[in-house]
Amino acid sequence: MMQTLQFLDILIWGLWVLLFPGIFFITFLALLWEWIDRKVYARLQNRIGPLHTGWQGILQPLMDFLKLLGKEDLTPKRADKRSFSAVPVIMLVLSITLCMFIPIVDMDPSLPGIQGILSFEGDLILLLFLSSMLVAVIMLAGYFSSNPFGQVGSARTGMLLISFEIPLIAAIVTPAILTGSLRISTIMEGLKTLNIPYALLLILPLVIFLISIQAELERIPFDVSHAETEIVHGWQVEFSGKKLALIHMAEDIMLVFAAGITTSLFLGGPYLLEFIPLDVFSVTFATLMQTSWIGWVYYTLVFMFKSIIVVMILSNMRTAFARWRIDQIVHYGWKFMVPLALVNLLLVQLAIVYIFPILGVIV
Amino acid sequence: MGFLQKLINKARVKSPYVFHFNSGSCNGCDIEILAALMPRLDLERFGVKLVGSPRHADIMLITGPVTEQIRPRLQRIYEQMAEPKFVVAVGSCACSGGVFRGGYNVLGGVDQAIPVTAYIPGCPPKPTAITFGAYKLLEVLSKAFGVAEKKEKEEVPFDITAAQSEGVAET
Repeated sequence: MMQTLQFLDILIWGLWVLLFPGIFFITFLALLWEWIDRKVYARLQNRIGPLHTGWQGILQPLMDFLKLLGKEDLTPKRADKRSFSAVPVIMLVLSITLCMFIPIVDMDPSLPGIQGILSFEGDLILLLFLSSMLVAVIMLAGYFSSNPFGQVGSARTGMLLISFEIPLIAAIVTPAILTGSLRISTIMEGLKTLNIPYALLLILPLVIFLISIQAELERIPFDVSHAETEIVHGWQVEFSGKKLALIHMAEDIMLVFAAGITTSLFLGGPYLLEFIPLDVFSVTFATLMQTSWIGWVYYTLVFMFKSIIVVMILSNMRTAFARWRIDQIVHYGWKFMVPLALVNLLLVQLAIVYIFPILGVIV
Repeated sequence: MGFLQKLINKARVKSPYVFHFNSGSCNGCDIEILAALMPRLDLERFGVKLVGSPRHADIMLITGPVTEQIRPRLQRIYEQMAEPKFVVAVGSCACSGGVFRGGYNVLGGVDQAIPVTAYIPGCPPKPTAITFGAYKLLEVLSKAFGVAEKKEKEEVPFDITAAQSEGVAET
C-alpha cells in the first residue's frame, strides 16, 4: 500500500480532506445549517429571521463569523492564558474530526458501500469517545476562564453530560446490534437490506437519540449550561473575538455532526431512491450511482436533504419547549431517559433472539 | 483598504450583537426593546442578536438615567466590551436624565459616563422608534466604515390627503 502511494495520490487525498467531503464542505454545511436553524426558529415564532444579508439572509452566519474574527481578542487577567486560548482550537479540531467519520460519498472504491474519510472497524466507539471528550473540553473552558459564571456553566455542562450520555450511547448501539457491526459504513449497508420489522425497531432509539443529541448540543430545552438570563452564556462568558468565532463554528459543526450521524445510523444514509422495491431503482439505478461520478452529486444531495430534515426537527424542539431547570434535567434524565434506553436495548434483544425467530421473520 | 478588511467592515455592519444594560430604568424602555425584537418588528432581520455577555456584544443598549451608584459599574462593563464597540442610549432618561435630571443622586444622561454613538428619545420610545434608531445607526456605521450601498434609496414623500382618499390612513 505504502509503495504504491504516489505523489498524485497524496495530492488527491489532501484535496478530499481539505475540500469536498472534508473541511471546506463541512464548514459550508455548518453555516448553511445554522441559517436554516435560525430561519426555522424565527418562522415558528412568527418572526422573519435574518433577511437583509444575501438572499433571505443566507450569508448571516458567515457575516457573524467574519465579524467575530475581526473583533478585539480579550483574555481575562486571571485566566489560564495558554489553556484559555487552546480550548476553542481543540473544540474546532475535535468537531471537524468527528465530521470526518460521517459517510457522505464513496471514499474507498475497493469496499462495498459508502465510507467517510476516516473509516475502520470499531470507529463508532472512537466517535462516542471523541464526542464525550468535546464535552470535557467544554467543561475545561469554563474553569480556565476563572469566571464564576463560567464555572457554574461548566458544572452544569457536567451534569448534562452524566445525565444524557448513557441514553445517547444506548440508542446508538441499537443499529450496531441490528447489523452486527461497529463500523459506521457497514452499519449503513446493513440498514439498507434490513427487513421492515427490524427497521421498526429503530424508531424508539431514534427518538431517544434525538432528545439526547439535543442535550449534547446544549440547545434550548437543555441550555441550562449557557442560560443567557441567569449565568450570561455560562462557560462562553469570557470568550470574545476570534475565540468566540471558533467556538460558534465548532458548535455549528457539531450540529452538522449530529444531523449527519442521525442520517447515517437511523435514516439509512445517503440512499433514497434505492429503497423503492423496483428493479429499475434498487438494481440499475443503484449500480449507476455506485459506479459513475453522478453518484457523488446524488449522494451529497440526498445526505443534505435528510440532514435538513433532522435539523428542522431539532429546531422544532428548540422552539416548542422552554428551558428545563437543572434538577428537572437530571431527574428526567435518570428516571425516564436511562430506563427507556435500557428497556429499548432489552426489547431489541428479545425481538432479535426470541420474538422474530418464532414469528418467522429473518434479518 | 484591502479586500479582507472591507469584508470584515461589511460583516460588522451586517451582524450587530446587542447587549442590554439597565442603569436604573423603570423597565418601560426595556420592555419596548424586547418588543422591538419580537415578531411584529423583528430586529433579527438586520442580524441583531441579543446576547447576555458584554464580551460578545458590539452594541450596548442602555436604558435609564445614570445614577452615582451605577456609574463605576457602567464604565467597567463598557471597558469589558471588545473593540469596536458602540453605545446606544434608549429613552429620554438615558439621553439626558429625563425627569430625574438634577436629582441629588443622578449624574444625568449616559454620555456623562461613557461615549454614546446614538440617542433614541421617547418615554418610552416606541418599538418602531427603536427599530428606526437601530437602522439609522447601522446606516451611519456603514458610511463610517466605507461600505455603504452605492445606490441611494429614493425618498418617497408621504402625502396624507392622497393616502386618506385611497383609504390607507383609516386602516
